[in-house]
Amino acid sequence: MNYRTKLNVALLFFASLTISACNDDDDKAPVKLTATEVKDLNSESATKFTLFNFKNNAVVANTDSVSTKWDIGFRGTTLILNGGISGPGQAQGQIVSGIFDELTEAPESGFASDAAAGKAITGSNGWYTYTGTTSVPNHAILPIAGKIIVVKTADGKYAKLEIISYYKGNPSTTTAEFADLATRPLGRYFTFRFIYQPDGTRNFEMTTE
Amino acid sequence: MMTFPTPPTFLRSVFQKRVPVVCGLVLTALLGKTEVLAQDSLASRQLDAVVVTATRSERALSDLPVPVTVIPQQQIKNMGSLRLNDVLAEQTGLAIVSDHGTGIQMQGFAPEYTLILIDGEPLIGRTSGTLELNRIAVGNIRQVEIMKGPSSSLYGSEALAGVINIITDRPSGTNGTFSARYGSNQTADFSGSLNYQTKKLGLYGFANRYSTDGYDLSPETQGKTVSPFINYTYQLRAGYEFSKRVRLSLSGRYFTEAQTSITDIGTTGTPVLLDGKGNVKDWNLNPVVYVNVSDKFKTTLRFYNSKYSTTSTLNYQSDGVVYDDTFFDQTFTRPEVQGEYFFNSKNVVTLGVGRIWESVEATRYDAKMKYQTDYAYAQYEWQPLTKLNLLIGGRFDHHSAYGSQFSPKLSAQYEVNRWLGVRGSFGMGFKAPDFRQLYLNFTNSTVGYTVLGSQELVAGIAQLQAQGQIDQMLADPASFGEIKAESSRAYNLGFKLQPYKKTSVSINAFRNDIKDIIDTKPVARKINGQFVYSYYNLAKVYTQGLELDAVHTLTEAMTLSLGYQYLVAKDKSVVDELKAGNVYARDPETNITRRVKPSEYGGLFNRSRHMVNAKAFYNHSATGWSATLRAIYRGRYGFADMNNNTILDDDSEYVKGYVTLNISVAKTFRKSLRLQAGCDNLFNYTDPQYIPSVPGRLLWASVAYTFSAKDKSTNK
Repeated sequence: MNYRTKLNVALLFFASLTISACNDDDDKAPVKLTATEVKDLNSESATKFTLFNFKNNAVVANTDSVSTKWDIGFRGTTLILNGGISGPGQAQGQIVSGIFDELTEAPESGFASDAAAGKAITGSNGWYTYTGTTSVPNHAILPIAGKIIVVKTADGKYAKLEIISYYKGNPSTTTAEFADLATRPLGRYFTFRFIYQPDGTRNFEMTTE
Repeated sequence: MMTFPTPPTFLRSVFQKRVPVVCGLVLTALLGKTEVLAQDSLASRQLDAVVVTATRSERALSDLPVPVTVIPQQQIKNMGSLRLNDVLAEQTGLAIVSDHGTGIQMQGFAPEYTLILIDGEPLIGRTSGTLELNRIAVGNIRQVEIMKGPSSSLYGSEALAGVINIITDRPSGTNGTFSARYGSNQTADFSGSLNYQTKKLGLYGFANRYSTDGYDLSPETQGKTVSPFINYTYQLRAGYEFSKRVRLSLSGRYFTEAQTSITDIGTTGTPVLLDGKGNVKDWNLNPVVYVNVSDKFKTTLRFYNSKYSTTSTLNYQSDGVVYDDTFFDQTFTRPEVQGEYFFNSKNVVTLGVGRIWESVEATRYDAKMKYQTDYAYAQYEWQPLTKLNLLIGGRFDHHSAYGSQFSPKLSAQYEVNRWLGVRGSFGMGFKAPDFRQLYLNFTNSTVGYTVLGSQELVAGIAQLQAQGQIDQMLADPASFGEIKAESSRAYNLGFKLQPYKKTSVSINAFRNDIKDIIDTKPVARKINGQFVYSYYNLAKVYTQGLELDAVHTLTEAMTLSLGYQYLVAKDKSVVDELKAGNVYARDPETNITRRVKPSEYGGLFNRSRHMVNAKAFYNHSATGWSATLRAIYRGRYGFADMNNNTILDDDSEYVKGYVTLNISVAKTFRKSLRLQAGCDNLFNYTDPQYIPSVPGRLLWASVAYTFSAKDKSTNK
């Protein structure tokens, strides 16, 4: 699986960062946080969510769904957070409008848990729009520009996430190839970028961990 | 008088016979002017045409403080136009747009905001707001009058962008015409008319058959871009003069169209074909009685009844099973009384009252829906100074479903000197919520979404909930509230210039501020993942621009004209959001979000910033030759959002600008036989993806024969 090797590379990089940070642990000099990109996260299953852990930048086995090992789950256009009716954790979330890089701090309030009345992260007209039959490209799931998902993770830390693409290979959605359903890349493959703040603060720029 | 270019019968009957008696100065002055200028070129003839749209009574165009464009019959014939959209496509500031039919965009407004009249009475039968202009044959049209800017002060709802009034032929002399035309796409058109006139009685009959095989810009897919259709138009008109003071006019029109189509609803490689049959019928009946109570007091009693109905069936080609079967019936009935009082040559007052009954019965409505409008209007034409003309008017509409509206309008014209005139106007317009916005209850059978009119919303949602079809409510139905009429305030300021004897220029700047535009938004998500939509008042929009028309008479036979419109149309809330930095876009390559700058906003979709037309008309009556060359440019315009921020901001969201060039040549023999040939869209411009409404190059040839009992009625 393609994304796994990429995840592993990313994981190594992240681990090395953490290690180097640990080396300077004594004076706890703040370190700049950089975004991690996850490519083509497969959420093809119609029944099971693909569960993801921000801290480890890794997919968590679905057998661990009743644990706090995961933060966010993907199944098609449905996003769940590990809390409320979706999991045993304390995860909450909200959608914030803005530019990913400009969101330097998580909001103080406004977080919600998944509930029967609705998920914390609204799908249609929340993080994406469905183009339907009237516009080109037809029947496409397009993430709405300027929507950032801010998550309070299962272990009470903060992360911000921007969904970049719903289609395999993060294709341009303005081409004729994408418009044609016969040649459009597979859907349910998420490309997103995120920043996870391990030190428990709401800051998305620097970390002391 | 015999040489007057447009059929002068009504002029003679109204002005010559009655006017000198009725009211002296103004109208005899008008008549004098028309006679003098009748000998002149096409341009000045047009300037002094007589129009009815501006005041609902016949007035000389040059005396009106509002700009009205007149397209005379001769010009329509020379262009070789068959349908109304052919004529309007070439006029300054008008763009043909396709949305559930061929409609007209005026001053940046969508087709639903332009009122289309035949002899002063509204045509009905709009689909999603668009009135299909192809329904209107032009063979029986005496002139088309286009009045831009809101005219709700006279016409009520829908006259927000302006009014297009089609004036049909009237009985004139005893004669007949027959014409036949054949062209590309097996397009055939046959027209015939008969005229009979005695001293008191006038009869006019017109019949037209138009058929086309349609065309296909994307042959790789099933079905055609435009499917074959045949339509017939019949019109009868009778006029009778009971006495010098009482005159009756009775006219009726019948239109029927049948279309066949093939649609593919399958997936790539496995087609599922549907045979479609569509029928459209519309008819109207319009008796009008003119009573001149005294020399100063003229009354007009109008009655208008119209019905529009369509049926459409789709059957599987394989086994004939019905896939979809729908119908739509609309009626419109209106009695109206109008009185016109001439105090003196400088003060004319017009008052009118009327009532409109409308109904719709259709597959998409629960039951027969009806509403009713009562209205009254008043208008004062005042000439306080020799060089100053004022037109003050207002209309009050009371609607049974959504409330009432008052629409005033004030126009003024000042003749600074012989070559310069200034005119300006302020007016308010409105468009009542239509039947679908109030009463629609429709679920799309293929995709599964639901649309509810504002009056159906609460009950419709409750019903869907009871059926267990609602997954999640997205908004409180109560928050949608009572729907209001869309309304506008409009400002127009213009100049009429005649720098040289043979050159005339008119310039008009316009600004329209529209509020309470009715839009749709989702109310709830259904369990099938689709949405329930309803209508609500939200957007504030403005359109502004500049329009220029220049006409130059090169020789007696040759006229050149140039038209240009500059247009900006924007959603005010989008402008505010952009200023606040709250609008984002995705880079089409990386899909990374960035902020959109206010300067990147291209305004509303489907509006061209620049539109140009340049035309040359040659008309040599001595030899019988005439020719036209017309180039129409439509500048680039937004098509659809591609970077998923709902607004027009990226270059990939525009359709390229394009030019169509149309030519025609005609030769008339012995003033009775006319042979004509032409080519529309000479450069064969097509854009199958974005402009399916533009067919390729069209070649055509026609023959027309005119006969008359006494050689007095045919023009020239």
